[in-house]
Amino acid sequence: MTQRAMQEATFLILTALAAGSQHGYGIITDVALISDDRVRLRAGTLYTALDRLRTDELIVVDREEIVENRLRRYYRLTPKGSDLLAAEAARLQANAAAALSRLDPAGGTT
Amino acid sequence: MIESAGLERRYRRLLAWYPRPFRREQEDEMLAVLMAGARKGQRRPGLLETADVIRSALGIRLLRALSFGRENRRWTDALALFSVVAPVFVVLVAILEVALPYHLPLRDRSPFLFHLPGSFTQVGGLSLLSAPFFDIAVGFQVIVAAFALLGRRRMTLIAMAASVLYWILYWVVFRYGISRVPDALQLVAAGAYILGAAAFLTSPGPPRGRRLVNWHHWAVLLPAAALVQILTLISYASSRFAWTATLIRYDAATRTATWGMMRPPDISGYLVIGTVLAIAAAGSALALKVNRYLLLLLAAMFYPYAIQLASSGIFSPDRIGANLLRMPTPAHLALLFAPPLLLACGGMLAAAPPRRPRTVMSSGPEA
Repeated sequence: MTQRAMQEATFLILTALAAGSQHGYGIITDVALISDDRVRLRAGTLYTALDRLRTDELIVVDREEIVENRLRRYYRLTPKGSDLLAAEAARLQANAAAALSRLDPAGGTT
Repeated sequence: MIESAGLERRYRRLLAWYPRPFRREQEDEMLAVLMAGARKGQRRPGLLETADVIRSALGIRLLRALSFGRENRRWTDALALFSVVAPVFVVLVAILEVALPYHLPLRDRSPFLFHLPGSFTQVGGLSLLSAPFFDIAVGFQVIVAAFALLGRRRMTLIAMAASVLYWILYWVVFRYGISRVPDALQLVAAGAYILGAAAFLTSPGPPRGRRLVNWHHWAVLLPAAALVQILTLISYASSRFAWTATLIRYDAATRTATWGMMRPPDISGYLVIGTVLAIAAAGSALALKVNRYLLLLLAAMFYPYAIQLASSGIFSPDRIGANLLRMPTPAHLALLFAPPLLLACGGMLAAAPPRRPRTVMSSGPEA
């Protein structure tokens, strides 16, 4: 089976959850931080992604809190989500290493 | 605080784009995220923010409607229900077609009308049973419906296949014979069989459908079956062919035949009845909260008949040549049957259980 490449936003959301559980707004701010403010998720996009990731059992709800009368639902990675993120990170790393090695004559194949 | 309350109200209104089950679970949480991201003094959702929420909501609605990649119980149940109610509905249409001798309400009634064979003063009725092919065709429908009601999946499928084979053979061997079967029955049955095949392939079929069916479904289907008959009658009455053929008057003494034009029959009464039946069927479906996917399947079953009516009867009463069934070109067949076929394929995809979990999102650029 050929695995399709993971979209960047999905990768960043899973990365944001890799260090621990986060609530929705926390994920948005963390994704902006990780991507050096290049990717700014909006609420609609985030919840479409979270809905799909939950369906695919890559994340689950960790807990809920009420803060200032507002509901905060925390999400965390499942083992399956961790594995997928690790595999995707390795794939990206391998691709990046290949690209860099070819761009660098000292380490390249030419 | 007042500004915040106004913004919150507007965000809630925006979130109404999401399907209700999603809102029940996520609305408060999403609202918290939206409010946390709002600028100080912001009074209404921004344009990009609004577009993003609407796009997301429509995407989730689409995914949940089709439920690709996960089993959708509502689709499966709708298909199972369809596998029972559709064959019975076809028999209801046939019974009404036979049992009701329609007298067209002609304004100028000639005493000769009743003596001319094929005068169209009576459409349908028991005379239909003497038409070749009709009794066998209806017999097959009755057998299919009986097996479906008994919850016999395999026997229903075999009877359906035999019925379809008989229609095809009859079409090939005796082309004009099929025109003896009223259009309504041909087209409703064709729609029922196309979608029924999908129901049998991807749902538990009659055994489950029989458990799910209740009086709510018949409250929708009975007026709908009667509506088919009323529409058939209106179509006949609206067609010039139906009433000009009755106008030959032969005088034996003078040996002259007179041809005269009559005014079209008055169909206003049937229009009123048709409207009442349509409202009854639609109102029952809404009030009794009948499975929406089942309604979609039933609408697709009706579609070929509705298109045939639109092309040959009600909307072009002066033209006889627009009958799609009499000249079944590939384009005509596609026009009649492509939508139910597409819905059958969509229903099968939606009801199919997942073969492997999906791992990536399918939406476009997200940032």
